[in-house]
Amino acid sequence: MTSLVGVSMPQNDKALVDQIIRDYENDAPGGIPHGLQKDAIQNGIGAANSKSYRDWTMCFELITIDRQWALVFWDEGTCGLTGELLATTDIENRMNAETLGPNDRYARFMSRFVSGGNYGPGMFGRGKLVFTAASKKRRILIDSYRNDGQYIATERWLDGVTLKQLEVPKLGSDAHDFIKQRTSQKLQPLKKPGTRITIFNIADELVEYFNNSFLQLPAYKNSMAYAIEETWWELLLKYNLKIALIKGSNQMDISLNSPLSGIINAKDGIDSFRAFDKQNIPVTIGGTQYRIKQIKLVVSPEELDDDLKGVWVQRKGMKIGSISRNMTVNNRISNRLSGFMTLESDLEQIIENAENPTHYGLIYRSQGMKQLRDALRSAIDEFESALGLSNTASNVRSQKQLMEVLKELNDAAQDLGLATQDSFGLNRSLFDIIVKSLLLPTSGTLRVDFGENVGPIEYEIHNHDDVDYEGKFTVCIKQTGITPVNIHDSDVSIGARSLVKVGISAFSLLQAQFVTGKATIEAVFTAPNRTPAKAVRTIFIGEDPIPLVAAPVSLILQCRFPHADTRRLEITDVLSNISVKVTNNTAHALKVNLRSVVRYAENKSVGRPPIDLFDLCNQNDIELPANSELLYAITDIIVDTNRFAPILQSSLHISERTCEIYAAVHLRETCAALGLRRAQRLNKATVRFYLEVDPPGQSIFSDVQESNDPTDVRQSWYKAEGSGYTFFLNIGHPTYIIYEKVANELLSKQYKQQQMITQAYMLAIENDIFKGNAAEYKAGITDQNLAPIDIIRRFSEMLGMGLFKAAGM
Amino acid sequence: MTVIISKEHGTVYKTLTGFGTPEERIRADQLDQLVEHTINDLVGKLDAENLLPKAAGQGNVSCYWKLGKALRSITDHTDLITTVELPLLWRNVKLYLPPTLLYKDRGVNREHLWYCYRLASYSYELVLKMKWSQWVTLFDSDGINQEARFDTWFGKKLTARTNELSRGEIRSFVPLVNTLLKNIELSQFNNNEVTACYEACWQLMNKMGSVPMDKVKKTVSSDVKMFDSLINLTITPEQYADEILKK
Repeated sequence: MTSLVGVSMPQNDKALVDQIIRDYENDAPGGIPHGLQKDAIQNGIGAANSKSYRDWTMCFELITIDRQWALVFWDEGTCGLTGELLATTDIENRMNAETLGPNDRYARFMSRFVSGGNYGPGMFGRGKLVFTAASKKRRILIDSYRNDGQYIATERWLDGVTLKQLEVPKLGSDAHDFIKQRTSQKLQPLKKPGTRITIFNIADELVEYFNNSFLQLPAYKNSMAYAIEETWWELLLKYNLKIALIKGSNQMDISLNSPLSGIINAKDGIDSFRAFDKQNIPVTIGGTQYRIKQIKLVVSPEELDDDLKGVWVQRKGMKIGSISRNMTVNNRISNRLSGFMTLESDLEQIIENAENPTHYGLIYRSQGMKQLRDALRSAIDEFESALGLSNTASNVRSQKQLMEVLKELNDAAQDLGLATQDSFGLNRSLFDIIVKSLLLPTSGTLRVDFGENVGPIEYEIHNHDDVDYEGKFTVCIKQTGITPVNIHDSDVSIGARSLVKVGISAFSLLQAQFVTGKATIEAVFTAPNRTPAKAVRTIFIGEDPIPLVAAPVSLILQCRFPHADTRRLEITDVLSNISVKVTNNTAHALKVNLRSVVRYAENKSVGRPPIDLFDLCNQNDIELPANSELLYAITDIIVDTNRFAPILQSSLHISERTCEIYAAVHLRETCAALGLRRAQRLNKATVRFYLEVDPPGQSIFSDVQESNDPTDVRQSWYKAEGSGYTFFLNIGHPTYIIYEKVANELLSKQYKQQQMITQAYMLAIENDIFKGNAAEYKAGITDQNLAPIDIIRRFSEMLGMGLFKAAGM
Repeated sequence: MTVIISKEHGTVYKTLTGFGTPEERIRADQLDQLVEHTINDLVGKLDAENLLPKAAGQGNVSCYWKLGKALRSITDHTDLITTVELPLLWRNVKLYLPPTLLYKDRGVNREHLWYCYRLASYSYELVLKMKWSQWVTLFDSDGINQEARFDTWFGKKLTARTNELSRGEIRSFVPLVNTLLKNIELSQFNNNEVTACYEACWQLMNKMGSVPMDKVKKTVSSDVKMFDSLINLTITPEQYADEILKK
């Protein structure tokens, strides 16, 4: 084979820097200014000569250069930018050969996204670009007095869309002159070994952030000094780190202040604080035992600001991010609870992989996170108990735990191949089957006795696509434990955007074929390579119906999304094939009103109720015969700048960019036989979509509930309610009761997790959604030619896979 | 319209759908000044009258009526805010309210400031006929919470009353409303139909005597024919109450 000669792929550095700014704005509480101090100090600490940080100092100074604000920061007690002083092209060669080592600090600083070793500036890919991002001109100056006596200086700047830097650094007296000349004599060469970064023409927000450091609360809360205090408190306390901010004649040495100092130093019962301290907690990850050095939890006398609420993880003396997100805490202390977790160094290395690239925040599905959160959960429970808050009724605690399990599963949904609520309906069928009429022998009841006739039944098959189809239409009656009885089978040709009527003659229910009990009449239309359409009606053979199990009227709102696997829409996208199917599940004629609108979804955080944007369908006085269905096709929705103007002008935040198609059906006339009152809402349905933003991590279940039914053999189940599915845990089941008797939080949680995963997979199968790791099981579960035992085996394997992954393996 | 909702880290402007235009922000600044002035004025007056609560949630009906009246003075005499934007206004107001006039967060529909605002739609003499906790119980009811027509009807009932309403009366009335109007979309009823429902519950409350509440609620819930007659106005609310209590 001929070998190819390639050149480097062009890169837009300007876009890269802009992306880094966005990343920090999303992840870091104070955006780039907060991120800058974190990366600067992290680099300085990494280059320290002594592990005890003796003689180590770091200074940040705000000065003007050529009448523009510039930020200068330098470390001392460090080794400087050590290593071979390679030309940029040589650095590239060494990068390709992956031979840049921890001591090649200069080379790593002059390249991007090279971490190499774990010490000194340049070890973190992003930090270098954060400094560039903080400059309005995207220009920084670097000089370093190395511990081998060399003095070097260089500069990096953005030219058009390309980051440029000197091919080789200035050395010795050239470097001295370069620094003085580039800063208009404002800076002199460093006198002690260390590294200095000068950011020219810094962003206005950074100037304000720096200046706020010299003010009192509340401005101080939004300052660089507070950010340093908050991020580096552990090292400040432990090693008495010397970090200073300088502006003109003002110098501030960073120390720990209230309210942070109150939390960090809190002792139980002193100054109205309550505190809980637990040390050396073992956790097992991947078969190896590690130790959490300390979990400290503190309840403050006053409500805390958001930045101090919750429990965060420390790594290498630096605050990383919250580990308590989504964890339920007794609401009497939830706004006052704060705390931190420190880890032994081996465990820190594992958790480092869970950090996002900006070092703010953790990815909960990463290895080890589940174990840390379990340990924290236990600690919070113990603390709550010590505070006398554990009198919560056991069912409340259990419900709380169920919610936690759901949240954890939601986070891991992708890994487990579980379908979330937003997956349902994305692969909407191009067809609909409508039961126009279904005649039962006795009016007013769904009961049919043996020997009586069912039917005739009239179906309509709708084709919503622009092409003709040849398909198969089958109708069968299904009962639990009985082989389905086929009552109709025909080939159907259906034209584009049209419908076909299929009539089925009345048929008798023979005792030889059925048993007493509930049965479903299922009609299915299948066309090659297309999602089948299905219509199901329920009857009761030889017995009276169970009082309304399902809602008297079902409402199915469907539409076709333009992009596969997402509900995100862009301008000019079209939501097509929108339909509302109204099904009368009762044996009584009903008169109803149907209304469907597109609305701007509620935003609870600003107190915004749902706002109607435009009507889709308004049908009053709909006659809905017993056991019948109606289908309303709705005009396509085009995302235009006219009707969606208020949303498209709002910020690109999920809560500001969520719309929904909403449909509700109300009773027009009282139905005494069913005990339903006029104007009573019979059902509602919503389909959410997101304009120009990605949908949030959706939940697998829309709600979780407990049901105490010792007579029900099922351990758990799910039920369609509103626009989602609710998970039910049977707390009356003997197995659950045994688990509860053991009174072990983790065991109990594991049981719930197993039940929820089981139901989540069943739900996915019902909706024919096999995602991610579950995809490979589809054929073995949906092949109708397989023996039931083989299908059960495959399901058991899929479930085992899910549990395996949920255990963090 | 645009409203200032935070000043902690710089001024944060918000509309129901975004951040607002520069012109709207100028109007939001004007509104903010009006809010600050109004609240400072109110706090001074409450303090002078010894009506300022000692802690959050400990105010009385006079205090909260005056707070509501102050909030209404902002919306009634300016075009800077519309009714649908009230939830944003509450956030602006909370920037200036002393903590003792605030209340714990109970969700959008149970907003303390909304309740005060609603309370001030009644005259001062009328609101004194109930304690604050009774008003909260009333406004919390699902069948009343979002229904402005209730206030018109209830104002008349209060006017007709010479004495104060007891805690027991409200505790009986509210569950009856909740039962009768459960899952009902009130927007589908006209004014007469809505009034008939509230009046029927009032009659039931007055007449039920020693009949157990659970029994009354069960009958109200199950007898849909009587409900139909009530809202079709073929029987009076009084007849409805009599028939329900007979069963």
